Amino acid sequence: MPTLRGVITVVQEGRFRLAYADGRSKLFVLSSSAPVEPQDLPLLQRAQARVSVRYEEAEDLLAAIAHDLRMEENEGKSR
Amino acid sequence: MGVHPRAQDYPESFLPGVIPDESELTVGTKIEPGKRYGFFTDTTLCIGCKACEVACKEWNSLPADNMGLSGMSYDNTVKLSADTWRHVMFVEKVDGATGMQPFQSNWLMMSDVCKHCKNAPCLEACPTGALFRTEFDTVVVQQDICNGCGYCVPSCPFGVVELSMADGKAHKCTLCYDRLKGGLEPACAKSCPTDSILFGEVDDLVERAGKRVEELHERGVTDAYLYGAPNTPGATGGLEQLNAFFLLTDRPEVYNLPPAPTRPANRLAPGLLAGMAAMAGLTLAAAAIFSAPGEKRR
Repeated sequence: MPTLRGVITVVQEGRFRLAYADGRSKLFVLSSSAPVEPQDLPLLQRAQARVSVRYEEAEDLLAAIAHDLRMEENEGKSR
Repeated sequence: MGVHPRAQDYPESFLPGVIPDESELTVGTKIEPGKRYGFFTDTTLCIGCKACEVACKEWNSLPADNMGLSGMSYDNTVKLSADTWRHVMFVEKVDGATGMQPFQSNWLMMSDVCKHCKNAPCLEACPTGALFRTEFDTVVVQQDICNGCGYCVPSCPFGVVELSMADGKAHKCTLCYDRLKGGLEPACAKSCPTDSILFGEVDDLVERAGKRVEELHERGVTDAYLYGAPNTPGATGGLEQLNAFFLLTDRPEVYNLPPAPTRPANRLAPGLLAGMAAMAGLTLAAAAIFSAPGEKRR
């Protein structure tokens, strides 16, 4: 499963937009199997934390399904 | 329409922050908890621009779906779904019964949405309480509570609620709950260029809609009527009133709306009684068979 790293910029319910370092962005839908819940997403968005998202492309949707979402451990060092 | 007096407080194009109670400027309604808000969709004004669909998708971060052409006129959204909370319907009437010139079609366009029913069947069916009625009298699904049981899906007489295949939860229009809390009118109504979609307090909208029907009748559009306002088609079967109601000019079925929607809960008591009567009948029959004399059973 591919992984993307970036910052969550927009959150609506279980949907979020991830902006990567090169300026592009991608819309994700949080899978029910993900270790985080929809109510955790606004906190990550407000913190502007760098996260990594493991995902698969959704069928017939212009979005991807996020199966795993974790904060980057070396966030402090990278800044 | 004149400029709202409050608009004169904001002469600059670039503002330092969000305007408090912005809806008062854009639609003349101050959004306050405890009041009932909804939509009045006047289909005679809809031009099928789909601005409402786009605004809804953009604000709610809903992904585009149903890629490709549907073959249904200009309607490529096809229906309301977990990822499409506004759907502009295109009904092309080419039967010649419309008084149009030959080879010209008459278009009926309607922007469909969740009706936020006064007695919402989806809310009644939800076993977890994920569907709840907000302080603005709208019906919203709480995503962190929804367990994806899907009871709300068949209970909706309008086919609005759908389970998402992506996250397994029920999704539908929230009437922009987050915007209402911030004093903003819903995105679809704000984006509508012809004011076909009007947002406001439901009682005000019903009054306004009644006047619009009278006006249309005077102008010769005698088939205009309201769908979903109190005591009109659509507000039947115990639903009482739809907070998002419509002005139509053809039968409801033409717009893919049920002519007489009902609450499934209405059928609960008759169904329960019928089941109990059937069980009682079967019990009596079994008792009669097994209590018969032994010789006859052989």
